[in-house]
Amino acid sequence: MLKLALAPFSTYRNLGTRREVGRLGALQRPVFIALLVGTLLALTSTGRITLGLVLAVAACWSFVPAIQAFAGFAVIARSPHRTVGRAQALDLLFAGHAPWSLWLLAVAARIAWLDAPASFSGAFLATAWIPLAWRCVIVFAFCRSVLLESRRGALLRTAAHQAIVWSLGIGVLAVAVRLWPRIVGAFGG
Amino acid sequence: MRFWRRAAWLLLGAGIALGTGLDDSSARTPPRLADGSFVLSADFHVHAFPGDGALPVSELRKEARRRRLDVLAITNHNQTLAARIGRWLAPATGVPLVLVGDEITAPRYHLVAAGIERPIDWRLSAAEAIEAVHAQGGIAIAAHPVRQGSSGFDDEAMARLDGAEVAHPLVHSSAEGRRELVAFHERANRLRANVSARGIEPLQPHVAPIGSSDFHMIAPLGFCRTDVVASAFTEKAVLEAVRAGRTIAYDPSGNAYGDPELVRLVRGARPAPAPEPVKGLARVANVLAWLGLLGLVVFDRERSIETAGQTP
Repeated sequence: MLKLALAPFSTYRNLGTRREVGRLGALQRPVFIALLVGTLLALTSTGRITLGLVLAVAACWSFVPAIQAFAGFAVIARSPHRTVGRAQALDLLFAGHAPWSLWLLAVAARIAWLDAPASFSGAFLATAWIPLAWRCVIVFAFCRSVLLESRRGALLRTAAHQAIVWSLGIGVLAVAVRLWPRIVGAFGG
Repeated sequence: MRFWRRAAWLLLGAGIALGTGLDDSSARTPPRLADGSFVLSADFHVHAFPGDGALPVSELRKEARRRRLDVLAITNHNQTLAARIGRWLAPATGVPLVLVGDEITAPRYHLVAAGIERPIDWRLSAAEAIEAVHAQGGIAIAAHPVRQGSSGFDDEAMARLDGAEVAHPLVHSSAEGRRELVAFHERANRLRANVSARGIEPLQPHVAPIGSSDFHMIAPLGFCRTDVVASAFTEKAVLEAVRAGRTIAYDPSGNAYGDPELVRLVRGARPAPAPEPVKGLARVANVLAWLGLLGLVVFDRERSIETAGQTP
């Protein structure tokens, strides 16, 4: 939601008294993110979108929201001042997905329509610092306004959240591309 | 807000429905030459999920049929799991033929192994790795052998290679990459003539030219490809044809690399393959789905906001 992404502190502050979201309700946003990733990957890798392709790719890449959910639970579970239930807190954390979602949409559009397929240089990937920084601000606002953490506590939880997300993400990548021989090669092995 | 959200779902649904309706992943019969040989369109360097490819093997097979590929080697880095799933899913006589493979990812070389059963140890030297591939009945192809990352291919390894990638998405993105790939292939062929005198016996007179997409998630499957002139539409015949150098590599512009006589023969059977751009209604379907997703991100579920600030 753009309102949350553009004004995270005030928007999160206003969310404290709303109705509880059930466990199923909390699944809606992670499922949508899986659908978004599945559709965009289908588009960039085949230039086509079919129902079977989107569902299959979304299922395979559902580890992306799963990692986010795991990191979210780790941050939310032991928060003493939290005023909302865990499911609701997780739903609110996922509500701040706009920066990465918009960036993925932009990258997919560039690959699918603006670039010749294989000449995509990866330079565009350098813009990833924008959603990365933006998302950190949103997570910090979430910790301050929903988990009612102090400034220092919110900073620590934001850092922990990002550390879990990126270490798991890089771990999956390292296994997939067999990073170790490349590291050995980089150091002249 | 609810209206726009519904409209966004509608766009996404319409895009997916249109894309599904337009889909054609039906199999075709590979063309044959006058002597009965098959001209098989192959991509010997493809990454799949689970691994660092975007698509699961079931979808890769459908995509291969859409791209008019007859043979697919699934070659994840130092592993064969996805490839074995692929072969298990593919009927022995179905299109495409799925070869179990592995991109041996070592510090000083990358080597595609196709037609193997088990992953090859990446700690071996390139020459030892090629020997291990041959011991399993497979073929060994130098993967994107540009200067950076191919220093492990010494004379002994070059003499035992079955093929080398001369057409790879690198040729599309860099003139330097194109020159280096062709130079490696020429050097490998030159070495064949000289190594016998130094006690190394090459397995065949020529290194087969290979075109591969190195498909992960951006360059389309079959973006660069190889025509294999095989005596039958079987794995054994495909591997034999590569060993014998009966291949033609194609870059994305349709330029052919290989024995001019073979190129002439194959061109007579069918035109040079070229990747087809997505156009017409398929493009409309993609735009609709993309706009739908954009709408769903912008007009995210508002339940939480609508109730915000309402004191119970």
